[in-house]
This record gives sequence, structure tokens and C-alpha cells, in this order.
Amino acid sequence: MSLGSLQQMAMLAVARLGDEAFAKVVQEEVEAATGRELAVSTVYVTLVRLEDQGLVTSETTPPDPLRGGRGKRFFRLTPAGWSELRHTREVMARLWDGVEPA
Amino acid sequence: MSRSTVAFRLLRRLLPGPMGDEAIDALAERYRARRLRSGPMRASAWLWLQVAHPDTVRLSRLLRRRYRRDLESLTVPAHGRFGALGWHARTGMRGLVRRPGLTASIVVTLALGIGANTAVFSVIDGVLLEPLPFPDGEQLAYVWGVTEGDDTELLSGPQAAEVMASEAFEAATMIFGYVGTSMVRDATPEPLLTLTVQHRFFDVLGVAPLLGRGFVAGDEFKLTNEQMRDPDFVRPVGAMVLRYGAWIDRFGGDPSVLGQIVEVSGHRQQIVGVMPPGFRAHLPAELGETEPEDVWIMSPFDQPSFPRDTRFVRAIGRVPEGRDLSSVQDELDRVSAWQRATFGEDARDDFHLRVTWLQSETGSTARGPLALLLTAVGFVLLIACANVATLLLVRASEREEELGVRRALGASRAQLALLALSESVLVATLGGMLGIALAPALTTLLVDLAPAELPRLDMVGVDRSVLAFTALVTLSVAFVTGSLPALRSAVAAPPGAGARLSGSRRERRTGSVLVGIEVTLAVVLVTGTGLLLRSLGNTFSVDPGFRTADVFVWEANLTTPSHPTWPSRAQYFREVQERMLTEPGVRAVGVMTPAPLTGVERSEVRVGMGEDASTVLADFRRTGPGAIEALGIDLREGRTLTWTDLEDFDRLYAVVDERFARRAWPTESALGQVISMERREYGAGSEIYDEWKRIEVVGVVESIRGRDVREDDLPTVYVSYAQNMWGRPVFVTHSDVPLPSSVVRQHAAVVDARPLITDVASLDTIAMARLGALRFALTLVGAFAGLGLLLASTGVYGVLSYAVGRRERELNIRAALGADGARLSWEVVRSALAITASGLLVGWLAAGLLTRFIRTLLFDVSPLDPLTYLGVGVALLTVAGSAAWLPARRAWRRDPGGGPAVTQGSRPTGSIRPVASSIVKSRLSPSM
Repeated sequence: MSLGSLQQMAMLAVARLGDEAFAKVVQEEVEAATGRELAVSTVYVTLVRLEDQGLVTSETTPPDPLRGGRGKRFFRLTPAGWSELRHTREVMARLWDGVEPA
Repeated sequence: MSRSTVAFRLLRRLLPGPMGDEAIDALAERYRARRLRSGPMRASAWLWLQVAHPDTVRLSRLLRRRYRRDLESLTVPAHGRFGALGWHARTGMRGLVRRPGLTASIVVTLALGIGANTAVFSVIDGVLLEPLPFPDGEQLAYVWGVTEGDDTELLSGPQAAEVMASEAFEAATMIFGYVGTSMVRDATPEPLLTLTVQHRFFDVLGVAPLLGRGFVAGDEFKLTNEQMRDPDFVRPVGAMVLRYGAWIDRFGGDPSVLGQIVEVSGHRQQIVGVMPPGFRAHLPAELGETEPEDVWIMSPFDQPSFPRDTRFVRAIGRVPEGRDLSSVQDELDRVSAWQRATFGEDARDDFHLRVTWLQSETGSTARGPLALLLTAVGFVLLIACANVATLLLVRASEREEELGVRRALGASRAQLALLALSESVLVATLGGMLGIALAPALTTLLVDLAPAELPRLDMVGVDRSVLAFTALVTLSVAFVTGSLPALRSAVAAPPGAGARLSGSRRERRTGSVLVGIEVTLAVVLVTGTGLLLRSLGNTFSVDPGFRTADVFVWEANLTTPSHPTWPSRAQYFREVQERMLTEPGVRAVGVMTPAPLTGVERSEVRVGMGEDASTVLADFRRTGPGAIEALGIDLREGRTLTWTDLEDFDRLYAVVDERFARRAWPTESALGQVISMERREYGAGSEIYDEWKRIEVVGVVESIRGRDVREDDLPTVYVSYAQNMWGRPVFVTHSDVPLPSSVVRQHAAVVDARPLITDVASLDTIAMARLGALRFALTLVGAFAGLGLLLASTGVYGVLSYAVGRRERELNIRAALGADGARLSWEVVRSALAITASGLLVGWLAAGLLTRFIRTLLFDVSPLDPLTYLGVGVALLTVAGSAAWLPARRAWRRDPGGGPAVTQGSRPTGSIRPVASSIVKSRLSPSM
């Protein structure tokens, strides 16, 4: 499996945010890092796919009256997600090795 | 409607489920910020760009797929739809897999209950229900008689012949009984069990020989009494048929045995046939043989000419197809009415013929112990069911929220009940399968433990009818254990009803009732065991009045040809005894037939001579010198028998016991008194008559319990062996050192090598073996009671730990507010004791009613023995108290500030619940 760049960015954001990795914050984190605005659906498609692949998992906090009785969903990397991320970094590092960007 | 509202409506349709809601919330937030920044027109355009974004379409697809999946797992398929069964099985299985510990304990509990029931049923099936292994075996009937006072009797030769000649049966035959004797081949005697029959025997049973032929009328011959007693008379050769097993074991399966002549009981017998494998006579257990006979031979006597009141014959008849037993009985009633009208002997004791199916008669002795066993094992299964129902109830209340969601999604109450039932069907099926896997081992264990009285044990096995029984039991278990949880599930409240501090009152009440039932059942089982245990203890502490330790018995098979006269028999006894006394350690030896614990013979004894003398029904033991001393029976008056007493065949002497002496001569000494007993005399031809012989009393000994240590014998007469010299003498030996069979055989062979000497048995061993039925019942009922007690205590523990779990928050808060821990524990323990006590009361009542049925097994203890009942009560209250103490202690000791989700009731059981709640809310809440 090879991760797309958006997937990598989303996973790294989830990893960095820890307990605060809500979809909205993940989107802001990626947008801040890339300096580009993303469609909301793009972030959700990425996270839903990662969840379906077992690389991240999501849980909902208890119902919050301030949110109309809904809980907040936050994401977390699974062990498989961590190892995939590490693997991608190693592949990238090997490929970058000896390459000097102009 | 504004354009942005239309966009959001569209998005709501496109993005279902909780994740969709979140995405729309995120979009709405960004939309609001943009609108403030850039105005409604630009914001609206941005929103529509978002709607039209390719990733929105992708997300829609992903979320729809996910939503469909979640919904499928929660909605119950409609009735009758194909696959609904599979759905229930899958959902049920998922539910079980999610709680592996609970599932495993339920399955193991049920497997033990179902396995034990299967094993007991396989024994019942083999011993009582399987048809006799003869062609149309269910058409075979067994004929016996009853006399005045409903005493069962056998038939006399003439009576049996009249039954055979009647129209009651299609065909009928006489059976004369088993004789354990010896067969001599190559000058070596070997033990042989013969069954003496009449020539129609194999025809009536409907089985043809494997090799050679069965009996024919020409095989029968009739000897005169003179010929029978004459040692020089050369008897014609008799016909003998071998059982297949005996043919294989003793003759190596050699087909050339046909025509061979062997010596059986000193007479020549020619082997004329071999029966097919598995064939043996399955005769009623009262005939006293559980081992299969080795051979069949024919009686050399002219049975129909025997006296009418000498009854030792059985008759078996084949009832014509379509004729019922009552019409056969009617026919036999006509025969016995004629017999009573015609013959004084039959009229005197009001003799009546009785008929029953051979199969039911064969299993008659087994019915009692097996019924007891089935009851005990049934109780265990009921306890197991109550236990499992409690566990499933716990599970049903844990799933309350999930069930509520399903209910909100449109599942009917019936569907929810079915869902709960599908789980119990699944666990019952798993338990049943494991039970069947356990059954063969349990069955083998049962057969090994079974007392020798149980007939047809060789037919016991796990077969199709046993499997059908197990399937039925499994289904019943599924229904019994599933119905309460199903009802509980059907009334599941919709979600959001709010967390409760502790479980509902109804829930706790149902749990308590189930535990009460378990305790009740356990009380009955444990009480039964306690009573049996006390009986066994009492049996061991009885003094039977004779010595069983260091006393050894064996039999010598003296045959008529080798010892045809009284002097030669008496001489044999004397020489063997004298030789035995030279053996180191042997202190006394004598002949007594039957010896205590090896059998009983009864007779009417006249006090005095002549028909006017009063009679006493007495046990009698034919005795030689030394036997009373070897048994250590105390002499009260006079002397015991001497060799001089045995010298004269016609002058008989006897020693009586105190009970006889008191009954016969309440006011005077028994010494020198005269009694008379019948002795069989043989005429010159084939006629036989019984003559009253005069017997002089020379001594009085203490009374013993020689038949069964649990009850008094009848008044007993130890009469000189010469009273009836025939049969196999039993040697009774008191020896300080164990007496090996080889030593006895060595001494006996010096005197005469021909008689077969049986193995030496100690009276202690025989006494233990005679307790077989009691020990069998005790071992199994005890084991089942132990299992029942264990299950009941885990039930108490389970229900209380759940109840305490539900109350944990309450207990924590109370503990935090300063309530005394010990007091809180006591509160929980007290409620357990209250449940147990009510179960105990009902259990005591039930035990009082049910233990009456084991009265025959009890000895010296009442079925209502207060000590046993009290002991059981204390034991159960202790067990229940301890089972409650553990969860109670755990509850208040836990930190009350231990974070959220401390109670079992509100602990999430999986990720499905938040999802479910959100789905429901998204469906129920009005659109934004």
C-alpha cells in the first residue's frame, strides 16, 4: 500500500494533534501546512477511506448539549497506521537520498 | 427558500449518517464565516462549488455504503423473509463473540447438564427402552405366578406345561434357570454357566443357530430316579448349544467343535450348535444372573411330572401379532381358574398366573435406580437452565440501549424477543454439541459404576434415539433459558430514557426468583445426597452378628457322578476341612450353604412333628461342623454341630437362632426340642415327593443379619447339611492371613481333583459389593448434587455481582459519604441470604416430598431426618453468603471518583452504540 500525499498529510496531522484530532482541526492543520484551502468533503473522504483501511480509528465523545446533543468525533492512528506512516517516511528518505532539489 | 437552504438540503440527502452530519456542520461553519466576510452571494456560490465538488460525490458514496451497513446490522429483517434465520444466527453469534467469557461459561454449564442427561438417557435407552434383540422381540411375554398375599412365585413343571398347551401363545417354552457349574476338557475343570431350557427355546425366541442346529424334541430324555442316583448307570449323551462368545473364547472359534463331547457337571454333553454373535437370553434380573450364559443344555428330568407345589420353572411365550396383553392375561386367568378347581396344591395358596412383556420384566430391577438417576440429572439440568437464564437476563439488560435502538428503527416486540431467543438457541446448540461430545465418556463412566443388577448394560451406547433425545433436551433448554430474556428484550425501552442509579426493581426480582429456584433444586439434591450418605455411614456401623473381616468363602462344584452319596460328600467336606486347618493362619473352617451374604433359602419349619404342629417361616442354612465358629456367631446355649451329627443321613440335628427359639418355645429351653422340615425324596421311577423329616435342636446361637446387614433375618435354622446334600457346598474359613485361591485349590485337589473350586472371596468384599445399588446411587447423586451446588452458588454469585454492579455507584457514593463498609457489605449479603432462605424453605418442602422416593435406599435414617435438613441449610446459606460477600466487598472498596463509566450498566459494550444513538437522533431530529 502506498499512501497518497493528502493521506500522509492527514495522518501526520492526526498524529500531531493527539486528543484534539477532530476533522475540522485536521483540515485547518493541513491547510496551515500547505497554505492551500481544501474542500471539506476532501478531508472527510480522506479520513473515511483511512478509517475503512484500518489506518485510523474514530471515537465519539459523550453527547454534548452545546452541540445539539451530538458528541465530537476525534481520530487516532492505529498501530497499522503508525507503521504505514513510518514505512512511507523511510521510502521517501531512501528516494530523496542523493537527490538535491534545484 | 434561499439557495443556501436548498444546498444544505441537498447535502443532507447526499451525506447520510453521523459522519455526514459532521461534514455538513463543518461546511455550515465555514459558510457562516465566509458569509460574514464576503457577503451572501459569494458565500452561496462557494457553497454550491462545495456541493458540486467531486469529493462530495465520493464522500456521498462512501457514507451511503457505511450507513447502509450500520442500518442493516440494527434493523431486524421482516418475518418470513428468506435469510432472516441466517441473519438471526449471524447477529446472535456476533453478540456471543463479543462476550467470550460469558458465552464460554454458559456453553460449559449447558454442556455439563446436557452431557450428563444424554449419558443417563443412553443407559435408560439401552437398559429399558431398546427392544430385545430378537426378531419381533416386543411380542415376547413372560409368565410367572402370584399366590396369596401377592407373593410372586415361579411355576411348577405341570403348570408351565398347561400354560404351553393353552391358546394364550403362538408358541411357548419353559426355562429352568441358570446353573454355575464346571466343564471338563482334557481332565481340567473350568467354570461354565449353563442355562437349562426346553427344546422349543430357540424357536420361541426366533433365532436360528449360526452353526449346526438348535434343539429338537428327540434331544430330550427322561431318566428315572434310580438311574439319576446310580453311579454306575451310563447316561445317554445330552445335547448342548454354545453361545458365540463361549465358542470363540473356549474353543477358539473352531467349526469342528460340532459333534465334540465334553463333560458338564459330570455328564456327557455333545455340542450340536453355535448361536450367532450377540445372542443370549435376556431374562428377568430376578433370575439372579447378569453375566451371559455360556451354553444351553436340556433338563434330563421329566419336569411335567414334578409335584405341582415345587415351583422353579419360568415360561416365555410369543404373543400373536395384534393380540394385546390383556387378552393373553384373560386366557391365562381361565387356565389358572381351571388349575385351582382341579388341583388341591394350586387352590391351597390361591395360585394365579400372571403375564407381562418380557422386555419390561427384564428391566424391572433397573427402573428404580435409573429413575432416581434421571431425577437427579434432570435437577442438575434445571439448575443449569436457571443459571443460564440468569446470565442471559444480565446480558439482555446490558443490551437494553441497543435493543431500544432496534425498537426505534421499527423492530416489533416479537422480533426483539426472537433475537434474544436466537442467542439462547445458539448457546443451547453449542452446549448440546459439546454435551454430545462429552456423552460417550460420561456413559462409559456410568456403565463402569453401575451395579451388577443392571441388566443389558452391553446394549448401552450413544445411538440415534439418544441423539434425538439430546436434540429435544437442547431445544427445551433453548426455550427455557431464552424465554425470560426474550420477554425482557421485548419490553426494552427506547434509548435516552436516562441512566439509572441502580437496576430496575423488576430486573432484580426476576434474578432473585431464578436464584431462588436454583437454591430450591440444589437443596433437594443435596438433601438426597445427605440422606444417602448417612445411610451408608449407618450401614457400616451395623453389627451383623457375624464376622466379615478375615472370613473367606469359596464353593466346590461337587457333581452327582463324582459324589453320588451322602457319606462320600460328608467325607469330602471333612478331608478338605482337615487339610485347610493345617494351613498357617487358618483358625476355623466349615461348610454352610448358603453362607451369610451369599444367598438365602426359606422354608416352613414345623415346631414338632405332624400336620397339627405350628409352623414358622424361617431362613435355613445347611451347615456342617466348624462353620458357625468360622463366622464367629456367638453360641448362647447347648452346642454347635459335630461330625458325629452328620454321620447318619436320616437322623438330623440343628442349631437355631435366638429369634427362632423365642418364637417356637417362648417359655422353655430350645435344647432337645424337635422341629421338622420337608426333604425331597425320590421314588423308584421318576416320581418325586417331599417328606417331613424329624430334626433335633442341639444348640441356640445369636441372631444375625445374614441376608442384608440393613434388616433382620427371619428366624433362622442351621440344619445339618444332610438335610439336603445336593448343590454346591460353600466353605467358610476364618483365617488371620489372606487366603489365595491357589492355596485352597491345592488342598482341595489333594482330596479330589475333579470338583471345580471357585475363586476365594472375602466376606468384607461381598458385603461391599452388596451395597452396590446404594453406592451407585450415592456416587452419582452425590456427584450431581456437587455439580448442582456449584452451579447454584455461581448463580447466586452471578446475580449478586450483577445486582451489586448496578448499585455500585449508589454504594460508592454512600461509602464516600461515610457509610460503614462492613454495613454496606452486610446489606448486600443480607439480600443474598434472604433469597437463599426462601429457596431453602421451598427446597425443604420439596425435599420432604421427594426423598420419600429413595426410602428403599435409606437405612436407619428417616427421609425427614432433621440433622440432614439442618446441615444442608447451613451449607447452602454459607455458600450463598460467601458468594455475595465477594462482589459486595469489591463494590464499596472501589474509588467513588473513579472516572466515568464505572457501572456495568453504563459501560459501552462496543462501538455500535454511539453510532446507533447518532443514527436514531439524525433520523428523529427535525432537519436543520
